[in-house]
Amino acid sequence: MLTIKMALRNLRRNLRRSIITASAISLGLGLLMFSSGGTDGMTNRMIEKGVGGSAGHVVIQPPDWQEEREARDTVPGSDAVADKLGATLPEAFIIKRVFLDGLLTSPQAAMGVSVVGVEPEREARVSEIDEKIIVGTYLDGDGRGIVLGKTLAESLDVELGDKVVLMTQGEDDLESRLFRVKGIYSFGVIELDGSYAQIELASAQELLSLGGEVNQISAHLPSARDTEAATATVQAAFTGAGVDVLPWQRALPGLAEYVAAEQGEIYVMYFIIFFMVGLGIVNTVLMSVMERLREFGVMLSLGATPGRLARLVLTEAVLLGFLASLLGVGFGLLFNWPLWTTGIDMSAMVGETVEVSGLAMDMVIYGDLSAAKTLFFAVFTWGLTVSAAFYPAYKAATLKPVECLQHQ
Amino acid sequence: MTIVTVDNVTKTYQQGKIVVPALRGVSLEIEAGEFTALMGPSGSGKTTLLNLIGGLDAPSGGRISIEGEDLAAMGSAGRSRMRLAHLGFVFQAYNLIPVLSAYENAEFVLLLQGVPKAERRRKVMAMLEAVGLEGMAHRRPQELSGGQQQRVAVARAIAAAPSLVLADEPTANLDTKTGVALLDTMKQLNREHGVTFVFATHDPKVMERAKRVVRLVDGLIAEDARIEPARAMAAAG
Repeated sequence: MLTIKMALRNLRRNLRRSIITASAISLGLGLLMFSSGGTDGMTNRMIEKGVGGSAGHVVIQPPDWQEEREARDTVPGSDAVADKLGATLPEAFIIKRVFLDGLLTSPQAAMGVSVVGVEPEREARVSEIDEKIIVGTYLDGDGRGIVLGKTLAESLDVELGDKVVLMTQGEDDLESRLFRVKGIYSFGVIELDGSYAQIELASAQELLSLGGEVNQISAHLPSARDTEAATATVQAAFTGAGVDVLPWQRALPGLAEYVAAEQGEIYVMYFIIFFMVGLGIVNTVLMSVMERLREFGVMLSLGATPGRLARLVLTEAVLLGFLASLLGVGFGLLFNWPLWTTGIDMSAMVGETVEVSGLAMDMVIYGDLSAAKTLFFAVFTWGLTVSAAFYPAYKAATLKPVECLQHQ
Repeated sequence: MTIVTVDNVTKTYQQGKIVVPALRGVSLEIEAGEFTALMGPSGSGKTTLLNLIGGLDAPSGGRISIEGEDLAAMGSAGRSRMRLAHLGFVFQAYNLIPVLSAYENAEFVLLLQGVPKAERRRKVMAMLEAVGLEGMAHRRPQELSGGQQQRVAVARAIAAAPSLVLADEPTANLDTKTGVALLDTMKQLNREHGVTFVFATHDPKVMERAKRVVRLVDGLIAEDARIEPARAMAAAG
């Protein structure tokens, strides 16, 4: 109790320095939380876009389908698998897709395309493509519609309502079908706008003679943070079923690598910033020890042990760090508020849409700061403050009484 | 009973390339109940000897023991424990802990010793009363005069009933009247409670009250005289 009492009073003794030090720590934490919220918001948005449009948080595919993505390689008993997946993950939204590559021809031109067969009503709930339609409408279940990108439409020189022929490898021979351009979309991303199209799932199954089977059944979770647990649950449920169960990170390795690289860069930046903050704290605490040399000499003379002096210095850091971390969390929540409510519109600086790893990212940044991360940052900041006091505490513990008493 | 034994102690300091001998071979014993003044000009080794007796520094040669325990055999933590158990200090610059009140300063050593709260309170209030500061227990050092701070320092030094109080120039920063009052208080504690005091001092007022004067010159004892018996004989005669 004496140590805590003295520590609190010592912090109050030089109130200006304590406030300045606590402010530096808390503002650093607040900015860290702001940066993390914005970065995680962008990253999670990127994951949602990528996962939503091309896979799912958890996907079920034929064994080893990920490497070759052979269109005629399907999940046996796809409907039953989809039903079982829905029962295993009641909170998830289940999507079925067929993926094929082919040649899309018009009277004027022919282009290689990647085509996905989808259930339009369900697909519209996880993908943005229906919102990006600039001409016509999204697929509506009539069976002969195709939606394609603006750049592809221009390459084929087709407009809304025009006919195109999709040719692909069927069961035994090349198969082709006539489709009518139902809608033209624009993401502002060359890859998506220039070589990608969607048709209805039944049309794709018919074209490839798949019956009712599909290449991929995906589960879309309320949050990407639930992926790991959900994957484990599905893997357990489908053990021995002759399918691959993959998290999105393995279904979309390019996106996963990009996200990991981004996270790595961010954490390096955090380390550098907090290393510098830590050095500042070391200097401040050391200065407070050196200012009290005589006082420490007196305490040693009276019978205080070197360990008690070290504990006093560390207790001051514990209290200061705790208060600063609390304040920092407050700052962090305050700084994140605009990210949570209105977002921060960066489009004036970088344009409305920016391509990132093949995805079209809107430049209004919304924050996503988890309670777990907030707690981690707060505890880390507290720990950093205490760690920064170790050296000054060691110096205090190794003081020689007579030298301290001679100090002015 | 002998409290302090100093046996042929030397102390040298290195100042750059120059070796400065502060003590050149000092031997003496301090008995319980003494009121002893170490006197001598600046640089004679008074404060050095006091610091060595207090275990705040280590001699270059010789041996010092407190109540039979050799200081050289103790580590720094051991010397801290020895000071806590046996010694009290009064410094020239008062050296009260600024964030603690007068009461808390006087209580400090008792807290370190783990004395229960009720007993601490009883002892501290008794000591503050003995030095005339019972009404100022809750004041911080910056709210006390120099003399009052030094009284608190005396209360702190004796609250735990140490075997020995070491006082380094305790009256140097006080005016005459305050210094006299402080010395009279310490003398009263010596007389009524048997507290042993050793002073390092220039102040002739200390010498007037001392039972024994040890005069140091250039790191050696030049004179070691017991005064009180002579004073008592003179008064009777």
